[in-house]
Amino acid sequence: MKKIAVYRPTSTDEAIRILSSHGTEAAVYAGGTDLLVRLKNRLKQAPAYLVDIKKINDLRYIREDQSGGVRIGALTKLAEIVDSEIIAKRYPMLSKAIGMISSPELRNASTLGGDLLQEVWCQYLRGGYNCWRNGGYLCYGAIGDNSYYHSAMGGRLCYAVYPGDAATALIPYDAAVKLATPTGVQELSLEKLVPGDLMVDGRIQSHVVRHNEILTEVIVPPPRPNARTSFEKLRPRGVWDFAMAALALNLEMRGSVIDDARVVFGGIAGKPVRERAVEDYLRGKTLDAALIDQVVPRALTNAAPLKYNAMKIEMAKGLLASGLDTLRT
Amino acid sequence: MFSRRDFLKAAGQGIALTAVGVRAVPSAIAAPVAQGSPFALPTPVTQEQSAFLINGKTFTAAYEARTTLWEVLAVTLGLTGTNRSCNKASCGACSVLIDGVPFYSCHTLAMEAAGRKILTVEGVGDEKNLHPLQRIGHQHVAADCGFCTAGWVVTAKGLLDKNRNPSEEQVKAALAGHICRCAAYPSIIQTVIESAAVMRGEKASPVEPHSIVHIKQPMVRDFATHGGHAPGDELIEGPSKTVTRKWQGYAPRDLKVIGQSMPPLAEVSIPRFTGKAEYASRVRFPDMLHARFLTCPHPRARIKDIDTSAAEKMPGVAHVLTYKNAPEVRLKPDTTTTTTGPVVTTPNGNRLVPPALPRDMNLQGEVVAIVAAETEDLADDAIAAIRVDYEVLPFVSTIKDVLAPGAPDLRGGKGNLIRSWESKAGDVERGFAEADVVKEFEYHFAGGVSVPMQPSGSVAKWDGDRLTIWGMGQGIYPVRNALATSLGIEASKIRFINKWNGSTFGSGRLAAERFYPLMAHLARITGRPVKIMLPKDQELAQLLIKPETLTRFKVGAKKDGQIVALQHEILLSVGDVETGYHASGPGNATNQLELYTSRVPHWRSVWSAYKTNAPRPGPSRSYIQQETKWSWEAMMDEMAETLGLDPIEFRMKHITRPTPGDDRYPYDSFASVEVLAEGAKVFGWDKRNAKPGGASGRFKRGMGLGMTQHHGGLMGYHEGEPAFAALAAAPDASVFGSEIEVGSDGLVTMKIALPDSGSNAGTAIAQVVAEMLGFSNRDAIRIAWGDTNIAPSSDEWFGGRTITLQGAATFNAADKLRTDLFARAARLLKTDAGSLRIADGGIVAVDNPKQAVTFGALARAGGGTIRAIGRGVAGGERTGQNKGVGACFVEVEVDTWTGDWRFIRATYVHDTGIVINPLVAEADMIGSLVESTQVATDPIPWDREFPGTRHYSVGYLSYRLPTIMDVPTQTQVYIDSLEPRWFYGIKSFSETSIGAVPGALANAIYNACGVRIREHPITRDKIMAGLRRGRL
Repeated sequence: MKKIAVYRPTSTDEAIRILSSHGTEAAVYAGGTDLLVRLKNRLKQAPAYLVDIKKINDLRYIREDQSGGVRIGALTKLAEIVDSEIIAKRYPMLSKAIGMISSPELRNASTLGGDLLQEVWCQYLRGGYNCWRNGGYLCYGAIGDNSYYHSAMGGRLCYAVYPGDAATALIPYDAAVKLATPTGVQELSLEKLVPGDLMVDGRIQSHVVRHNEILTEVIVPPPRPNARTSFEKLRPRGVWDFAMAALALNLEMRGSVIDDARVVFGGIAGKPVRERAVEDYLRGKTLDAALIDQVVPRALTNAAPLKYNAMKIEMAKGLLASGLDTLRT
Repeated sequence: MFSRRDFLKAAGQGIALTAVGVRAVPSAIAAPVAQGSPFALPTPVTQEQSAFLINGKTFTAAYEARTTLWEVLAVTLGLTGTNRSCNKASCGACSVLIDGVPFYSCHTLAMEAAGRKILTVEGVGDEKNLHPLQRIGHQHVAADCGFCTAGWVVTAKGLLDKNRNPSEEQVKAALAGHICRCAAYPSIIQTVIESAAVMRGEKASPVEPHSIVHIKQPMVRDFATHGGHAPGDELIEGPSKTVTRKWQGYAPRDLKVIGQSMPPLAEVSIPRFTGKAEYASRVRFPDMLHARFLTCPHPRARIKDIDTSAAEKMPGVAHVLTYKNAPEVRLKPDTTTTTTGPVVTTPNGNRLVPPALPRDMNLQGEVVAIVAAETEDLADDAIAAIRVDYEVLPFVSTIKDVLAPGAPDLRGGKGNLIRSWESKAGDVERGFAEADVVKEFEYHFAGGVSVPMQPSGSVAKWDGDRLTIWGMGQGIYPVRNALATSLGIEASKIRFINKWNGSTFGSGRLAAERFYPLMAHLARITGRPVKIMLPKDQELAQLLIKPETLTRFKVGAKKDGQIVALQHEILLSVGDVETGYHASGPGNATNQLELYTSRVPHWRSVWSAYKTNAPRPGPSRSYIQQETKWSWEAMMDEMAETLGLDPIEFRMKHITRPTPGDDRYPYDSFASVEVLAEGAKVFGWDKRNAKPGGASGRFKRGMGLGMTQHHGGLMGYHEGEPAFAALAAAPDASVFGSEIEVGSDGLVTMKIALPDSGSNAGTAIAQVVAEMLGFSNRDAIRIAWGDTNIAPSSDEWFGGRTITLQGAATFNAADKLRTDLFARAARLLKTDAGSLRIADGGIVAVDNPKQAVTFGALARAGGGTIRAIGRGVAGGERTGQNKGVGACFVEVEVDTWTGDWRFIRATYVHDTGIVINPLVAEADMIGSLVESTQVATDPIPWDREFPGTRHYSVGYLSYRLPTIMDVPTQTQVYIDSLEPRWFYGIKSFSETSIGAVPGALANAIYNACGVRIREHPITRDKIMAGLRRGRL
């Protein structure tokens, strides 16, 4: 593992000051499940200074707020979310999606904040290739073996897929996050948090959080009445593996008619892909087999597969059919 | 959250509070202070010293900020029970409980666990006080190689502490983060559920195999349908008509111990559950140095120069080894092959890889430099400071590229085709002219590999001029002798210890073995023990793989379904191994050819080996199986469909059926018909879809089968047989030895050189010895093994030779011992040996039970012990006279909407010889099927666009070993086609059936959804692509 120096601040202010002092040499350290892999592989981009935020009080909780929604502290372990009765009852799709992340032991270590802000799992980046995210000026995935970890929906510089399942499952609940920044607390929607590969502080990353900002809380609005949700994830094995394609579906129903819809695909692009065209098409229609046949071809029409990953799109469409079928009862 | 409370609890149990506390050592990295900032940065921690509450005791350790909990436990504190395998949080072997919750210790910084309550396998129970999980796990064979065991036992303990009555689903969910390479999952689940029951005070249920259908064959068999043998006490063997005593005098009759299901030998098995099995990776000395590799990033390059000057000055670095200062490796001349360039050989001439630290790099991942340092991290720091100047050369790493015009010539102008072999019968062109139907097929196998869970490696330690090596391999004497040659010292100066392996698969041992001379050298010049444990991504480039192959068939058949002409062409990528392994000739590959062409009048088979910059081929949990048989099994199904025949019916028309007088197939035990017919019956083949993809609905099920012929365990002769002496006297003879000793306590100890990789072969041998010595159970038999200080000289295992040839030596020793015991008893009882019988640890007069003497008394009368040494030898005519057949029937379900598929169930059929211990055999075969499933479905660890193994740096996320959630329900079918050549009708399982699995899966997927996959591996995107093509 690369050499590291670890700070243990006891407040977000202190953590932000330390992060500000080190620039991109430092990074927030929480569960470490992603970070340690990059440190072990001695990636150029892996930080030299870790700011351990686990000594900061009260970033690990699941509580109801006044609006009837739920607040989840960024340091809440994934296992705690899976075990939470409130989440299971009110946000079953979130329970299911997080329960399918990595493995039980890793869910004991990983935090929600870490899952949302994790680095991509492109095999070239993780293998130390000199790519955009690792100090170079090339995307190996765009021209290499891109069957699994790369976008079939186009890209800008880095074609790696955004790997987090929690974000995919949170967006259909219209969730938002709180960021502690040097100039105060900011709130932004989950969708805006992970817009795909972009340059932040001179680095390519999937999310907009700057080097001296800390994600502190996830805000999940109250579930809509008559909502039906479904999370589907296609992966080679029943444990550990990232999504080849994933789908989170949140339909607000009036009888068998869809009043409103959220359709978000994961595992196929540099960000969770919200398919508004599909949402619009579904709105006001009766959920039946005929609707599934009609809507599936309208999904992901702007796909731009690479050499080996065209089937990601077909799989994702299959998941859409499957998800709608599950909710059609 | 929990730590404080649990800590106080621990403190209440008498652990000194003052011992706990974290003391930060001032940082070595000076933190910059932001310019103009009023904020003074605190000092970050780069190293510290803390107390750890481990298994109820307090330990203090100093560590760096980057040090993992595993390193503190297993390296610093010497709690070596916790194994580290992937080191990337992708296998679960290293799990420990922290405050009652399981974590991967390889992926937890030590600082996170400081002051918290840790439970490791050592705290679960020891051999004197086994936890139910350990005791019941041992009884149910819930560990084969045992390398994952310490991890899941700890996690299961955490589950049972909270839930005393878990359901099967809860057990699976809790253990989902644990890969068992040997796929002992059914036994693991049963162990946890049984343990819970026992902990609730209920009675344990008896230990039984899960799923065996045992089809017994008569002692005299029928030649009409299958291989057989005539009545009488003698067997006429092979073309030379050698007369052999049937069953070697030990007939499979009135058996008491053979055929009984019982746990593995306790001394081999229980340490796997207590964390005490001494894998090389568990060997630790406080003053030990750790070696790490720098590997080549290019598929082909020549090192122009290396600058290690900075690395040598790095803190903690003891030595840096490169081609410049590596010792000359002395080579034993190889008499069986001719080649240019250096080769390392062993006495059997079967191991032909370039020596370590070459200057010419022939594959990405080749080792460029080795650093020995105080810790792995410090060694890696130094590795990062080494500068290498490469001349990067054009490369070619796939068959497609090697065939392309203008491909770079890797053989200095000789062309990349190393050589071709042709075998044929009849006139294939005439055959095609006579055929009613002629079809051509092409299949590609992308390559596969069996990766052991134990990191390949070794420990070398000198005491004066004596060297001890803790190794990882498949024998101890041949590698010891080769190492002695390399080092230029007497073999007797080397003690070689290798008792347990976290598997080797043939593939793994070379990754350890290739570096023994250099590890010994490093230990000698540093004066300290040196250990190497290869990281998985680097190990992949050192393992032998199942190579890439391209197979083309042209098949001509009559309308009635009889093949009349068959042309088979196979192209192989053999890396830089120009002689040996897949480059040495078709070898085992002729098996599948023989299986299907014995009744084909015209056939031709061409085998071509190409040099490439791909990983090296060789044995990889079986040798020349999936890489050649995947194509055969798909072709047989495609041809059957063309001819309108059921795949079984079509195979029945062609499979070899040995007949008396046909010297081409001199097999007396060859259950080709039964394997298909009985397997189909057990599996329920009659319910298969008649039309591929014919079922309606989204989820479609399909059935498929694959068949295979393989050696049934390479055979030879035991001392006392006429052929033995000449074979054993040859210069490169492959001789096996075993010693059996009866002590004054009457216990029988077998001393056997071979390590145990999880097949528990010693257990099977012990049951045979117990039977031979007249016991009615195995309780008096012990084993001492895997150490040149203990066991007599013996060759190594591969090709199923453990039960056949180590068996030959051990059974020979038992036979001698038995004769000796009779003679001694006769003298002592003053009677004739012929009037005595052997039973239950004593010799008794047939007509007077009171006239008796125990083995112990005989030993005491003989001065304390009675010993016999037995020997066996490989080779000779018998080697090729023992064959096995196998089959695999599978059912899969394809989700036609998403391309997803599930492996529902399998019936795995084996032509077994007599089954010595069904329980242990079942454990081995369950793993065999899962292993082959992984080979069938997971891409080769070799990037197709940027050739190399670097991206395999995320552990088993990139080499996807099936988890507890992924495995099918299995039924094992044992057809005990008794082998009359051998003791009690034994032959080896020899992974015969493993080659059938990939073809069976491809055939089942086709049957389910109509998608024919001809390009290995079987992946969801290929299924999806096929489904989409079908729809358009």
